[in-house]
Amino acid sequence: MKRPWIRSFSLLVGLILAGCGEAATPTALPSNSTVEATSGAAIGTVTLWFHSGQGAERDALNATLQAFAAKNSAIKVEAIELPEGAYNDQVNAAALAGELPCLLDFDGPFVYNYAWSGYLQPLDSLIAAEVKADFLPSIIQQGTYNGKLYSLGQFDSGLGFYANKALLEKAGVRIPSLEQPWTRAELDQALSKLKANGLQYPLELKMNYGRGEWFSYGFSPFLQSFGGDLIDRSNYQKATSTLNGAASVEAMQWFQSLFSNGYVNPKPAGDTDFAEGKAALSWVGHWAYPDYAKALGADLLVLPAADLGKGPKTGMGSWNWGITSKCENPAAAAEVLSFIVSPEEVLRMSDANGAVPARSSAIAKSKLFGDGAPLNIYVQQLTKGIAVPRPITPAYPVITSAFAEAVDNIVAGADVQAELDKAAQKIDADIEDNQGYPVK
Amino acid sequence: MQRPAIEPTTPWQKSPRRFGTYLLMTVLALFSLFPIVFMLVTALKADEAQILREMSTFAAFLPTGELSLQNFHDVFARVPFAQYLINSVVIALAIVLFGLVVNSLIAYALARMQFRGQKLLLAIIIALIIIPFQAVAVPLLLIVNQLPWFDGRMTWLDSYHVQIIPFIADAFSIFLFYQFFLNIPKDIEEAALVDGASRFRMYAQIIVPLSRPVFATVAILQFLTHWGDFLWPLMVVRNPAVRPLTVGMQAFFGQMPRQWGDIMAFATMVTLPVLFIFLLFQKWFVQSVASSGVKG
Repeated sequence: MKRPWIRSFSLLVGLILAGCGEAATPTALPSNSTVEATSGAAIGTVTLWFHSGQGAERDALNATLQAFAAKNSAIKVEAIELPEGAYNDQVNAAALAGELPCLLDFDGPFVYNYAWSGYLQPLDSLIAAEVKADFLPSIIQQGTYNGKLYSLGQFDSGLGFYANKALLEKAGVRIPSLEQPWTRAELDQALSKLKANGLQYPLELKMNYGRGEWFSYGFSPFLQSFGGDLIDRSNYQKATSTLNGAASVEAMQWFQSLFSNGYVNPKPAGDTDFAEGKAALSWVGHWAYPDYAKALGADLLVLPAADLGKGPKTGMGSWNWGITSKCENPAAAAEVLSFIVSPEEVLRMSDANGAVPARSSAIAKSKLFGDGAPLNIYVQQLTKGIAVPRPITPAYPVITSAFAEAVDNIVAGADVQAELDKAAQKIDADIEDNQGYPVK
Repeated sequence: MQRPAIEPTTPWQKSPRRFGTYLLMTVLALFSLFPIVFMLVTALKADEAQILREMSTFAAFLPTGELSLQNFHDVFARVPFAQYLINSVVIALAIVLFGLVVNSLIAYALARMQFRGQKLLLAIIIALIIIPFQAVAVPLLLIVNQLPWFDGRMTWLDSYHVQIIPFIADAFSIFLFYQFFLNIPKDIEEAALVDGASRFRMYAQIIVPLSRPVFATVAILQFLTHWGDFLWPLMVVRNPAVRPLTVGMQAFFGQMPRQWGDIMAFATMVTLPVLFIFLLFQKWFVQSVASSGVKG
């Protein structure tokens, strides 16, 4: 009998064992960087996970970590970049295994579920009061659960209408302001006029983003502006009567009419209808600004949310940072976090990704968001109570998924009441299954 | 004299039914091929706006507009693709090779050796086939998280071996081997037994050479399964040094708007090695599928 297969097998065993040994050691790949610092109060190693966002965002964070190493105490930061598409699943699996890092970032509304699940520790005693006071109220609101602060972000988000000034003027549509936003009737009239002026689909709602967080972030402000909401926020115990209540149903019927009247393309071929002048209005976040400014130049207007009955409402919240409860060196982690959210680093990130700086001192220095700057309207929406946080409850992952499914079906022409009933039942069932998410 | 009726001369005329069958098969084949064509063509389109514009039209399957390798370049610039590829190859190959040895030995013991509880063991193994991996993923995670390794670590997480060892023993592979071994006549082994051969020698020198088709089937099925593994590596791997392609690809999902050109370029590079391996072993695969009645 020939023995080459036995030799090959032995060789493979050797290779695998050698490979296993190597793999256990952190490597210095571009997406897995290690930086060391040499001065400061706390010492030790801080493991850090972050999502692989846009290229500029990653570069800014890497620059921040390098700057931390250059300026701060003897703290070694072991940073690992995780693929964004599966980030939350990886965090949940790591939490299950008790293998979370010291410091990690996560999308805003997940903080409540993480805090309730015991993954995070409060930051109140780790972050100085004067530092906290410099943050936008929306950032503090987003990071607070059950009276304790669990997360801080480098940036917040802005949501509103972008408009093509030339097309609005041609159709004779009034340019709204924060003081005098469009009413529902005005918005409907504007869309009708714009359509009559030859635009096949005058409003772009970024339906090409597909079902997901965008539907909750982007469209729940319409519910709130009609007086409805995703859940009863008095105690976060029931969605029934709120999500499927009269105001929410009216809101989503109006939303459905945007499609049935032909104002919005439910299946846009691309992301460029507004930039190409095929749509006069685009309801989207701050991230669209660079492309729109490039495409429209002086014709680009950044407009506030419309008042659909109960005051203008818009979204808020973005990725933020928290310290895990398993972190053995919270003081060192807090030092890293404080550096990441320092005004200079906040500004560095905001310049890179175009998001609203999380701190007032950084906003003052921002060319995009400072007083009189083109996107200052987002700061005003965030500070004047127009922006509404997504529901502050551990049930949020279920809420967002149920609402997104309902939106998807409503756009396709399904019965609004039936869809909202279904979503509300799904949310209530989850809350019930978790005994109302009692505070531990 | 009466002229004979004109007989159909072409195969289609001979059998209109055959024409219908071929037409149906062509349509079904196109259904299978379209996603691959879409993937390849989209990967070559440099203009993201064009990709989105053509997404729901027939043009999505045609190599129109500016064609370039820019999307492939973007993939290499954005993620350590070569590292992920090596990881996936090492993991899938290791599972296949270790699995062939371990599972065939187990199956041989079940098919040929008499021992107490043999039938019960076989029944348990067959029962295990119906349990989906998702059902045992969480308990398995908790177990591997507590296991020691030779380097002194008290967890298997973030390693190659955590992605290999749990999948070496596979109930379905054992069942396939077992079925095949049962059909091999015992005469040759009995002759070898008379000559004083050991059980292992009979396995290695008689059974293995006679069982190439089933070895090929198991190898191909296991490779295809584990090449596409996503849930388990997602749960147990954070370190990019041991991250496989499927998890690495998730870097392209999340941010809006999605860069479909990059995603398709990544998918193309993931698919091509599998396609190549399949074409290489196509004969074996078809033979073994036909002989064992397994549908992959």
